[in-house]
Amino acid sequence: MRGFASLNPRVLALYFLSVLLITMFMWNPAIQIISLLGSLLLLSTLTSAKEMLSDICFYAVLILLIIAVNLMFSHNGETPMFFLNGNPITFEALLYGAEAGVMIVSVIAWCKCLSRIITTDKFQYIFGGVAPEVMLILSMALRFIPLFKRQYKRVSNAQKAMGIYSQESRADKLKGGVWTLSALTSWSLENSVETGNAMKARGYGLKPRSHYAIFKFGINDFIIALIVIAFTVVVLISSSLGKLDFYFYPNISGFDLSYLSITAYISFGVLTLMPYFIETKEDIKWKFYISRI
Amino acid sequence: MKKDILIIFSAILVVAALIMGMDFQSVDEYYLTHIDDIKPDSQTVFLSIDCKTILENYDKLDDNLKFEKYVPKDGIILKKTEYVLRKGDTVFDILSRAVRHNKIQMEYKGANETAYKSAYIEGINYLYELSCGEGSGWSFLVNGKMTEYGCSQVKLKDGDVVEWKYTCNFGEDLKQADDKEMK
Repeated sequence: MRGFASLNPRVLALYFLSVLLITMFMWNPAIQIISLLGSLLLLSTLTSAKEMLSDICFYAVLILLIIAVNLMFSHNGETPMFFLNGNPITFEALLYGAEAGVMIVSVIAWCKCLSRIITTDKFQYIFGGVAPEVMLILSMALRFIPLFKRQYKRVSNAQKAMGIYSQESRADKLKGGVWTLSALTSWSLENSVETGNAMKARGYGLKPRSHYAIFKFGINDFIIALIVIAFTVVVLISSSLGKLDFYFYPNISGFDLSYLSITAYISFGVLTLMPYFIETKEDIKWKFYISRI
Repeated sequence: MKKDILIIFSAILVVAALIMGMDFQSVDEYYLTHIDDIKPDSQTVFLSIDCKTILENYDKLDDNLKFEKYVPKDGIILKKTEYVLRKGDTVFDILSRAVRHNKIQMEYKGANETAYKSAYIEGINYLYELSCGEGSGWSFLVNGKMTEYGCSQVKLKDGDVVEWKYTCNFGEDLKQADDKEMK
């Protein structure tokens, strides 16, 4: 644990909350693109290059899909490109779809970063005092995803070893996948019963119960929290004054280029790029120390 | 491998069927509509489109539509014009022909997409349903009266007057205007 991830979990939660909310609710292409850039850069420090590449391919396909869906259902806009079944397919709808796609992709990428950085023990620390039961259930539910993945691989390997669904054909693979999934469902039911028994056996639910945490709130955490709050407030003020408004329909409105809106874009840019800079700084430091050995 | 080829082939078939069912038109093709010339013996109807109620509720209108090209100063998008009535023409047919001829933007949901088995006009001249408050949308009057049917269910006859009006209050504001005219 180093760099950005070593900050106090509460500060990290504040950071992700503010970035996610701004990304989701500010309907402005500049904000979305900055957000996408920041999330992808941070993700690149957290995952391998191969995984990153496959993620980016998935994101590109998702954006194209959202554009296509928006073109089919939204016909508003001043510049029709052609007409489909008597309704126009417009350039504005294309851009609107791209904007929505970028927004969804950047939210997905931020959430992926969040799950990598705020691990379940940190979640327990953040919400453990307020709602320990809910948090325990949530973290157990989230744990099920990697567990499920691992078991899926095991079952399908076993099936392959027995010689079923082992052909190269895609149709056969699909059929095998469905069967594996059905086996997996019964396994997960059994597993949850076992977990419940194990918890009971270890005395879960007995009264005198406490929890401990190893996280401290240092001066670094304080500074970062202040920065996050200050920049978020700048963006919120700017948007509440209508400086970040952007319209796609009926025709595309331009960006507002007053000092306040530019300040808002810059502060949001700093906010989203901050973790990446902290990470790279740590990286450079590490390499520097290694070079001196 | 055989199965793979079969699946790819059937996927291509489905996509081809989807594309065959679509009707592609270029922008010029769409606006190129033939309006019959009015002859002494031809049956005609009158059509007008206006959004006068928006002028009274201008503060409720979406900010991106507060321009004169979307809401004209007098509220009239298409002034009362005479069109030739073809046999079996409905209110929707006349509107669709008129907006194409005058190059006015219009978006609709086809009769098979709605629950009422009638076409629904979502927006004319970039003014959409819900653009001006919660009860706003397009409505039509035939000979000054509202009908209980959808626009592609009402068949027209010679001399009918069709008015497409934008309402900001579920059509109530259009009825009031009628009453005033009656008095």
